[in-house]
Formats: sequence, structure tokens, C-alpha cells
Amino acid sequence: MTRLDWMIVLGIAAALLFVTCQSATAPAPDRAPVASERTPQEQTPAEEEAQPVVDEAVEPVPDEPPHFEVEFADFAFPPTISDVDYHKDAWIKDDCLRCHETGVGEATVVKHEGMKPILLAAKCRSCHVLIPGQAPIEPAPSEEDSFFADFAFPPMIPASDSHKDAWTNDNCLLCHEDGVRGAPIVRHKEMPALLLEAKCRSCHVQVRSGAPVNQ
Amino acid sequence: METTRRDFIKAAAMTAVVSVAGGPAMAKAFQSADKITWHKSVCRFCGTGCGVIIGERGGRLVALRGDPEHPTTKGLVCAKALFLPKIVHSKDRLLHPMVRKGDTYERIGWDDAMNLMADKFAAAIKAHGPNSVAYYGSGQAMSEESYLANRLFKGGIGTNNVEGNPRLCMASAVGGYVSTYGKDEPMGSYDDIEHAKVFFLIGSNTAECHPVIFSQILARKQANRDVLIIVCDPRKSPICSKADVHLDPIPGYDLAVFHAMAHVIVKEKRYDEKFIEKNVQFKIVKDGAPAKVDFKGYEAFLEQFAPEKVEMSTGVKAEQIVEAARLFAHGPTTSFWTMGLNQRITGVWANNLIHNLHLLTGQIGKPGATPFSLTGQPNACGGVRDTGTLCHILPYGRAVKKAEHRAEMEKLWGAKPGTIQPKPGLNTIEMFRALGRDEVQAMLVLTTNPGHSLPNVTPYRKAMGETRANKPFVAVIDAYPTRTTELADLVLPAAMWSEKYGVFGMSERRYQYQPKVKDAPGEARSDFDIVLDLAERLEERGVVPEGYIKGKFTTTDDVWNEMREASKNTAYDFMGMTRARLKKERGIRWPAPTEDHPGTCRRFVKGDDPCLDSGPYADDTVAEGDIKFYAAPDFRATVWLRPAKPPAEPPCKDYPIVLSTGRVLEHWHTGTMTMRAEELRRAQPECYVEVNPEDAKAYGLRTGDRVRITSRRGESVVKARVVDTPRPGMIFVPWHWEDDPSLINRVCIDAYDPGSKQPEFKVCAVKIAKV
Amino acid sequence: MVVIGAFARVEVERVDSVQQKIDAMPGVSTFDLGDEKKVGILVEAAHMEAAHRVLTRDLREVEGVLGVWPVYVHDEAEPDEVRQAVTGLSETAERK
Repeated sequence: MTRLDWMIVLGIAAALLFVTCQSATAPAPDRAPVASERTPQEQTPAEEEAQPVVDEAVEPVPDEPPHFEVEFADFAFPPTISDVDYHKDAWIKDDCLRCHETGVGEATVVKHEGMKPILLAAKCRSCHVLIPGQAPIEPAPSEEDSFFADFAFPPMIPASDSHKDAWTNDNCLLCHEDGVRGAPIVRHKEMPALLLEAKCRSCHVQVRSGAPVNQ
Repeated sequence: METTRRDFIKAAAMTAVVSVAGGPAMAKAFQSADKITWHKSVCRFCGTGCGVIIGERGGRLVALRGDPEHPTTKGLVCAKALFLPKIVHSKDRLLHPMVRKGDTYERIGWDDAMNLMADKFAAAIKAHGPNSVAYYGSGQAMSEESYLANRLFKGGIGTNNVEGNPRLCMASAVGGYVSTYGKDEPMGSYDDIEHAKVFFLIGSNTAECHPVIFSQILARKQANRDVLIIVCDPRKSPICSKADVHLDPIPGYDLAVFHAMAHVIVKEKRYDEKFIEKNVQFKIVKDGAPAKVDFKGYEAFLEQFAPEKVEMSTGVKAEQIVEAARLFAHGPTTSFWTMGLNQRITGVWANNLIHNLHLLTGQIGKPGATPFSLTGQPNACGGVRDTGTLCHILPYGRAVKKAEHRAEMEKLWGAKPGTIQPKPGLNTIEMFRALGRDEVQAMLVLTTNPGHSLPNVTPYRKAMGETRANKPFVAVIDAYPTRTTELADLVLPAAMWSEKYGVFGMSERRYQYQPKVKDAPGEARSDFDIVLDLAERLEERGVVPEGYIKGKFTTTDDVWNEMREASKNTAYDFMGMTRARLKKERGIRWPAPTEDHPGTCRRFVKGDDPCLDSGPYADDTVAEGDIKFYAAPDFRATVWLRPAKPPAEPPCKDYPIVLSTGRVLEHWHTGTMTMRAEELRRAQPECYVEVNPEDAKAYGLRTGDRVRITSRRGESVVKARVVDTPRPGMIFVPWHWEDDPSLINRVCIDAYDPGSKQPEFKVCAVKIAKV
Repeated sequence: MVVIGAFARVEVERVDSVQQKIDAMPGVSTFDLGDEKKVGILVEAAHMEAAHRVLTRDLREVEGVLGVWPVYVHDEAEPDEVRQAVTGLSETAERK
């Protein structure tokens, strides 16, 4: 083989490996497809029988939403809660905003702008229903945010009971260094020790800072 | 993005390595061969002047971090700085010049915009004289920009109507330093934090307003059990949780507290007799003129301020005052203060009284012992105070009133002798009042937001924007739409921090270079370019002598070199700060008269301050380590016997509550920058008023209720937070929000200190009611 | 033009200083591998001799580097070099 041949082989191998890496990082669905999503070849006979019959002689009518749905405001219906492990206590717990106001753990960020504080103190599942089997929604990254380095902006501190003294305390790492009480573990890799001694709220701003969580 | 063959091959190489040796989730990082390039710079926000490194990729700012190599801030920054990339790239940056047409704005070209501005200024000058125009600048413009504007207006046009927003924040500190030591600016530095045993924090919510300074103070306290903190503040700000003594005087009645502390120091003989004998004099103002008194006279004066006598009037317990005084005297003590002392009608006096305590105890010029006024803006010191861009001063410690100072600057600037007027121009409040009376016919507002930041702002907003016959022409230079650009006749889009290069000078006399890292968006230009362009067009119109500025400067480098010349042989002497040095080093503290001088840690100290070694202040008779106040009359700093004057508008029956305004960590000034970072906005999304639980009970208020706050001047409606941070009888409102109901400056008073001309934002009388 | 992708195994405590020193070397840059024990290295050189010297000598001399492994090597003449070869201008001047 000539040198050029070696270069071509190496290049193809690198490309293949690259592509494999890319697809390896994409999250795999964590549930089996339901019946209506499987192809006819995959469906069981019983499932096939249960499918609606399509008369091929009739011109297919394009799907249109039922006309009453388009009259609702786009903020009308609170998003549903996905059926995943970390939502399993969603009924009992009321600290959803701990992750969902700050985006920690790739949680979808919700803002509840303009909502009365008393509603924010209520159990989240009073308004947000959990759909059995529903997969987590992948948040669409905003175009302008994609320009910034992914380490650029420190995560926000949630406005939860466990963080209500975030201003005066400087012992955040007591929980966040080892994940005590389910706290997200932070490493602050490459950060000089002096910065770790500063008040955490100097860099990490708190959602609705200073506003009481529960009234 | 254009990808070259080389880029492609590099990407393939990196991908191969990642595939073989990489950890998880690395694929995203290698879609482009571009790396982040880090540029050393200085933060855009407060006067701490934190060293930062700006991450740039492909001509965009992508991240920011504290600079770990910075000698004083050592990599510490606060959250505001971290979000600067988002702020700079905000989608609503001003991109084109806009001219007002009725109720709307239309885009025009730069040439037309500059011709319009030059025509308006020239017409006003020709018809009504140089004092019919004015300049209102900023402690956020670069030093070269302020210096150039000052040069144009004072030495070119011939008017002293040159002001800047440091008049609203630092003028009293200037007055305090000048009246006590003969020259402005702190004599200590941040190095003193590492040596102090006592920190006296007065009228300063250091934790939220200068977070990096507070982090260093806390670190010192946590590492040394014998380090103590005394706080003097009517409000229980976050720093009070770490205070060993908290003095909470009735707002506006703290001067008696400082005299009382002096009383304890004198009575218990905790003063430094030798230091006083050698370096201090005592003065009182009698019949409008200062008169000397001796130590005995001072002692007698202090009798009225014995701690137990001032308990009632100040609201501070005698034993607390005694404890604070004893701790202060023990030292070494570093005092830090900001707006709580400065934004008062007795601001200069309040500053004097803090200097008194340091002078009495000899706590000055020694490691850890210094009176240090913290600056609010990133370049109020270097850019406005030092360059003399205020109505009564000239560059580097000179005054318009002094004939020799005017002559020096006229010579350096190439101005005709007699151009600089001997009388100070209009101070900020009087300037905007004159604008309202149409006596000022053209004004240039540069990188500041007076339509939000002036006290009692309503009449001044009318002055700037109300349509009327003979309305003055107002041109505003800014990077974002603000409550001031909406009033302007001409809006000029400005390049922001990181889009132009120049110098910022922060609290500890450190001048730091900031590089240009990216291009300005749209047609935005730097303030320097705009002022230079205006100067040249005014020369063409014959209202500025031809050749006064045109042809002399091309870049800020040229201006910087002239500034160094202007500082030569003054107490500021920074001839040694060449551009090359500033680019390489992480700031240098003046004085630094030669290129090999490392900069000055402590002024007035022999062996540290080079002014004592060479130049007009040189003195070989001073021993190493000794202090000499070489700029003070008779080389003695002055302990002033000031009256304990109350505020301009104390509470009364109709307006029984004291309003004080201030700041929160997540926002800065008028919020034009911080409100454009989503996280900072979400952290503090709306304005609020802190109400003490006792007052809340009396007025039937709960957290979340809307409260109308009314003064003799205007009203605001904001949400209540019932907390015990303000003392009873006092409310606190942060001033960052620009929407009409939250614009708390409509309520504040514009009475000002007769010495410093700084308004009293910190105390006015209001009434409150649930809406 | 020579482009080499390699990685270095480094002492964990010295990752930052190793990266800084390598980044300061002309024609050499580093990139993160998401593994605190390794540093990705990209070497660009005009000729293979120079690149070889960087890989086998210069990089190994950096304190904290435990070993260097090349992964991808690319060598081709730049258009300028080809032109010089055709016109007969000396290449040895460039190799200095």
C-alpha cells in the first residue's frame, strides 16, 4: 500500500470512530415503543387486528387538529411530568423547582413568570400531571446560548427551603461535594482554592433571590 | 465558518486522538478546530477592579473567568462579571445612530448624525457663549475618553460645564480626602486587607456591592480568630451576620457616633500622641472660615459627644460605641466605606470624621491601617476624578481656581492662555436644572443614564426630553436603549467593554489595561472615536481653535501618552506606566514615575511613595517608613471639628418613614447591563421594598403586598418584603429597576452637600400605604 | 505540512502547568480529553523532522509528562513548497 492509501484508510477509520462517538452520546430511549409506534411487521396479530382499517380507495385526509385545540393559548396547559426514575416521588415531593428552575441535571428550565408565590409553594403535581410511560422532553438549546462555552455560566441556586440561607452560609460544599441528601455533586475542577473559600452566592445567583419560598 | 484544508486535517487528527484516548462527551468540543483564546482584562462593573480573563472564540465572547494571576483579586469575581458575555452579546444593542422625529426615532448615517450634533453645539456656542453647552460623562468611560472630553470642553470650547456621574457617588469621598490630606484618593491599597486586624465597614453593604473585597475580608477573618469586624449601618445587610459589633444609627444621625468614638479614644488616652504632634492639626469652621484649634480645644469640643449623651439622638447604645472605639483603636484598622457616607448632605463631613479616627490613633500608612473609600464604578477614580473631568478640577490634582494650574494645562493642551475659565462650572444637579431652564442649550451625555440615576428624577427627565419651544439639544451615547436614550434628540450607538481598548483606574489607584477582544456590532463606535470626531467638526465650525485636537490623536494610545505627561511631577505621577507595561502587567498603582518603578502600595510613606524621593515633594529628611502628608497645608493632615448636622429631610408627621436606597448583588446601577442576563434577571426579577416587621404590623402589610411609597416629590409602587433588615421607621429599596412604578429615584431628594455637591440619596422622608 | 494528533499521560496534579507549558511551545496546542490523566496534543510543523523532535524530545522534557503517544499523522507538501521545488528555489533555507 502506498502512503496515500494509508492516509485514506486512517482518515476513514477516524471518521467512522468519530461518527460512532457522536451517536454513542445521544441518549437512548428508555422505554419500549408502544403498539401504535411499531411497524406492521413488528406488531402481534392481536395488535394488528386492533388497528383502525384504512380504506385505500378513499383519498387520505390530511391530519388536522380538532378545530377547538387551536383556540387555546399556548401557555394554557402545564407541561406534563415524564415517567422516569427521578420523578418517582413527584406526588409526595414539592421541590421540583430545585432542578427545574435552575436546569441542574439537564432538567428543563421553567420560569413560572408572573405566578403568585403561593402557587409556587404548592405541590407541583397539583397542576402538572404525570403520564405513565412518557419519556423526558429534550429541551431545545437556544441558538444564541450555543455560542457560549458550556462552562461559561455557573448554575443558579434554587429558591428551596434547603437553600434559604444561601446568602449567609458558606457551607454549600458540605452537601455538594459528596452528594449528601441528593445534592448534585460539583467538582469546580481547576478552580483555585481561594475561589472555593468565597461565598458561593458570589458566583451562583439564586432564583428569586431573597424572596421567601413558603409564606 | 470557512474551513481550510489545514483546519480539516487538524480536526481529523484531534478526532482520532479523542476516539482512542478521550473521556465521555468529547465529540461536541471537536466540531470545530477553534480553541477558546483567553485575554487578560478588567471587569466592567464595580470599583473593585477585579482582574478577569475573557474567553473569545471566533470573534465572540464565550466565557469569562477571574484572572488567577491578578495580584490582588487573585481570580475572585462575582456573578455579574461571569455573565458579561451574555450582556455584551445582547440582542438589543444599539447599532445605528438614531435621530428623534416627533415621538419616534429614525435611523441616520454617522456623518449626518455628527454634523447635526456639531451644528447644534456650534450654534449654541456662537449665540449664547461657551457656557450654553455641557458635557455629562461617566465613571464607566475609559480614562482616555474622559480626558479627551475634558480637554475638548475646558480647553477647546472654554466651558467648565463638565460633569460626570461620579458626582452622584464619589464626590464626598473626594472632598473628604482633599480637605483632610490635601490630595484625593486612598493612600492604602488592597494589600492592607492581609494585615488588618480590625475592619470598620461604614455605610457599605460590602457583601453585595463589593463582593470580592468582602470575600477577602471574610477569608482573613476565618483564617485568624483575632480579626474583628465593626459594621456601622442602619440596615442589617448580609455583612452583619459576620460582624462582631454592629452600630445601627438612625439614618442620617451617624456623625455623632463617629465623634463619640473619638471621644472614647481621647478620654481613654488611646490616641497616638507622637503621631498627632508630628502630622496632625485641628481645625473648625468659624464664621465661614477655617480656624485652627489645639488638642485641648478638640477635647472640649468632643465633650458634647460623650457616648451616653448621643444615645438618644443616634439610636446607638453607649456601650456599643465604647466597644467599637476600643476595637478601632486597638487596630491595625482598615476602614471601608461607600455610599452610606458619601450620598448625604454631610458627605464630606462624614468622610472627615472617619479620617479623624485614623489620624487620632495613627492608623495610617502602616500595613493594615488605612482609611479606604471604596469606589462604585470601574473608572470613577482613574477616569473622572484623576483626569479632572468635573466642573471644578483639572487633571491630576489641579483646580480650575488656581491660575498656575490653568496655565499648566493650557500649555500642555496647546490652548490659548485664558481659555480655561477660573470659575467652576455647573455641578450635576445645577447643570440639569439649567437644562430645564433652557440655559444649557446643548448637552452631550456619554455612557451614563441620568434619566434613571438622578435623584428626584422627574423634573430632570422633563428637562432632557419634554418637547417645548427652544428645547435644548441632547445627544446620548450608549450601547443599549435606556431611560435616557428615550429622551434624547440624537442617540449614538457605543462600543462596549471588550470592543475598544484603554485604561480603567479602580479603587486602589491601580490603572489596568483592557484590550479590544471583539468588534463592536453594527455601526457602533467607541466613545473616543465619537468625541474625537465631534472635536474635529467643532474646529471646522470655528468654535474650537483649529488644530487644537485634530491631527494630534489617532488612537487612545496617543491620548494616554499625553495623560502621562500631564501627571508628571504631580502626586499622581505615572510617567512610568507606558502602554507596553500596562499591556504586559496586571495593572500598576500610581505613583509610578519611572518605567522600572513597581508602583506604590502606600502613599505618603518614605520608601514606598516615590514622590518623597524625587520631584516637587521630595524630602530626604523623612526617615524610612515615616509618613509625611506632603500635599497638606503645613504637611499636616487635618482633624476637622464638624457639627453633627441632621439630614436635609428628616421624617415628620406627614412623612414619618425614612427611605434609603441601595443595591443588590445581582444587579448593578440602572440595570442596563445586568437585566440583559437572564439568570441575573431571574435572581432578582422585580423591585421590592424592605419593611421592618414592626412597621409592617402598623401599616397592615405582608410580604407580597403592593406598597405605595410617596415623598414630596413623587411616588413608587413596589412589592413589600417584610424583613427585619431595615431598622424600625426605615424602608429600603434597591434602585436598579427602570419601569415607572419601580423608578425609586422619582421619590428621592436632590438636596446636595454644599461642599461636594453630591445628592442625598440615602435619606429622605416618605409615607407608605398598602395599595 | 505535518499535522500530528497525540496524547500525553500526565501527573494529575500538574495537568494545568503541563498544558500551559505545552501551549507555549511553537506549533503545539493542547485540547481537553475529558480525562484528567491525559492531555490531547496537536502538533503542526513544516517538516517531519521538526515534528518528530517535538514528539520525542520537547514534549517528554516537560515536567509532569509521563509519556506521549501519537495517534494520527499527516504529512503533505504545502502548495508553496511544491511551487518552490518546481522553480528550483532552495528548500534547505526553509529547514533552518
